[in-house]
Amino acid sequence: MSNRLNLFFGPQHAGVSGNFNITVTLEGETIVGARIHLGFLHRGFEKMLENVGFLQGFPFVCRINVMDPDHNEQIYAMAIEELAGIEVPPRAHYIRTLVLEMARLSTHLLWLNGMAGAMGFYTVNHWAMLARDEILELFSLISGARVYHIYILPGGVRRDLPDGFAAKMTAFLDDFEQTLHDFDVALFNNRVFRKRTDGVGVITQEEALRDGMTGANLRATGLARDVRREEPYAAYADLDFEIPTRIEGDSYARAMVIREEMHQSVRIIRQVLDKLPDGPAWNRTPNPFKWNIPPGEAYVRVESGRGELGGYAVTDGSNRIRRMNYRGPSLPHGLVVLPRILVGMTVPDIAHMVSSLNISVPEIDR
Amino acid sequence: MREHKRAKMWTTHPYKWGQKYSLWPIHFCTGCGAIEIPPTMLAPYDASRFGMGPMASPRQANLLLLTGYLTRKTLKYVIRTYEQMLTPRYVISFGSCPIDGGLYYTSYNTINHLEWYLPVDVWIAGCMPRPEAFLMGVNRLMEEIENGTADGYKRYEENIDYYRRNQERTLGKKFLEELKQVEWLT
Amino acid sequence: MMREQELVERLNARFSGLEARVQRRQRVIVSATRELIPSVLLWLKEQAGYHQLTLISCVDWIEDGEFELVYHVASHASGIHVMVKARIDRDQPVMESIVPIYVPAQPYEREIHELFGVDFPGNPDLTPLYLDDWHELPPLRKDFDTKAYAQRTYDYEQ
Repeated sequence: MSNRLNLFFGPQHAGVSGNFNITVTLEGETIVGARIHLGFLHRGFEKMLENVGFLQGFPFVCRINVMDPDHNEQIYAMAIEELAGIEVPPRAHYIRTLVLEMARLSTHLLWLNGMAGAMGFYTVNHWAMLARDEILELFSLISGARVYHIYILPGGVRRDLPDGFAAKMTAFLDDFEQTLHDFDVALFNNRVFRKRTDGVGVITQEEALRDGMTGANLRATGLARDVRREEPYAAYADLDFEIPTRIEGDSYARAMVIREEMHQSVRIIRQVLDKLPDGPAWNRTPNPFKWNIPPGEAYVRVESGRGELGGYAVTDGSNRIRRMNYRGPSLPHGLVVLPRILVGMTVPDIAHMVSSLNISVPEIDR
Repeated sequence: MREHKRAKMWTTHPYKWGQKYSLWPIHFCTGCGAIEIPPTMLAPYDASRFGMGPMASPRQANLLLLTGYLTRKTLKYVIRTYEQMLTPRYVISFGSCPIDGGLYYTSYNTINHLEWYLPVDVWIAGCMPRPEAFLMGVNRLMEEIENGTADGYKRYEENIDYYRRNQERTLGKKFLEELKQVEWLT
Repeated sequence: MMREQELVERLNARFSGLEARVQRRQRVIVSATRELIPSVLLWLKEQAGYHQLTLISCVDWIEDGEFELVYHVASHASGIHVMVKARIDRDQPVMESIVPIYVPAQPYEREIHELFGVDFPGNPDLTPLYLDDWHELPPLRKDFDTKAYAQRTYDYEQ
């Protein structure tokens, strides 16, 4: 008689992934099978976007992924700009880059909160939330809200940066470099963290390519691929930054790639503040009540905190979008890689793997 | 005068003092409002100075925090969780979505009125509310506990037919039959 | 634009029954028929190095009585993103599953099966992904009115 047990790892998520359910089949302590159940966060965005005008869609799209909302706005804005032929002034490109890199920093800090919390490093948990809160306060200076900004619109950004923002941002960045050093001492160079993550959850480059992985998970297997280099958008073509890569493909490699990306984000923001050009921060768009976009289709992509975030938009000449399909980078990670990689591990590794693969369920469910 | 009143409360109603200063929320975040819970519970807003600390099991918790929208699947789990909590138990709804559907009122998968399915003690409006708003809501709940008006759990038992009718209409008969397997503890 | 043009010429020469064109820099659109899709995708993956299946989209053209399936594949080496499209009948929507070619096709086909009602014979698991106890039309079809459904189910008179 076998010792198989179905363990329902319920919608209360361990870490900060979002509500989903992993039903693992255990034989003793070892996982022999895993099945993912979703739908706890499904709101039907793509249907709701078809019923509202183009500008009205922006309060919706930032809510698709709560941890990294600005990249979703960037996708919708880029899609509408490509379909309608709208130009964006250079200053707006730089401000968008600033906002997107701040969003990347805040989502990486949220990842750090989840990863450290899933392993029991509760001090780093608190530090990461504190640093993220400072970024959210800077966001509320720019856009008026902490989490959902509705700031990137077609044609540019909603309003220009406030006076004195550069000084506050620079002060935060100087502090943050010291905080990164603290994270190194407390977590990334910590012997316990290394023991728990070295060699755990190894993904080879062939497996990563076969399963459709993108983002930091793919860069940790040795392939230096980043949408910001492959197809530069916003102001990334003019900025100087590196693509951190590692070759081991285990959980420690993924953690170090994300840590290096935080460092590169700081570098990018400093360059943006130095090189910010003058000029308008937005171009006028048509009257939203009378705005029809000619029929067409467009696929746009950005590098969000988790990988290649894409949007496929189709218009048909009316004043509504025909179809807006979002491609969340966490879908292959959560539905293809996670059930496969959990086989052979033990129960404490479930929260570890969910955090290590940086799975965000809202962008799978939409 | 205030100290005298407090001392009197401590001798006549010590359980209220204990209840309001140890609200233990169950660690179940439902919707996008959940992103403001870590800053509130941890640094920098630190809800543990109010006596709040997250609990993993519903049997050990007495506060259900519904942070944001609820889909149909989540509502099934939330009702089960609520009924497993021991009384007195309180519900704080966080965000505009449980009030009237919020931004997702046309969605085919999110409920629009939480009050039809579960009794709510404190509503916090916003999309999304700041951590300070959340702490104000918690303080309001503490006042209501002290005044004795936080009686959502009593309303649930007295009007159980109303709540069951709505639950069946939205979630289906099969859900109610599965729910009967959970023991009621009052 | 050299590599996009080269890919378009190779595709048009290799397959008859499809039309490939360059949409813009790093975007190529291939309009094919339903039967050609698996061979085109296999050729793109094995002969042209398009290893990544990014997304499978479905668009509801209710006026034409058709669904349009769009397969998005991308190549790391060239940076080109190709959209291979095919129209299928809306009343009996069936499309051969491409899971044997691209592993991540499985969840995307499962999602389209649930939200549009397209059948993918050959996909190992087409059980519902997001919704349970769903007895209405597949929700992303154009004839499903989400506001009316929400009012009926979540906003009825007390």
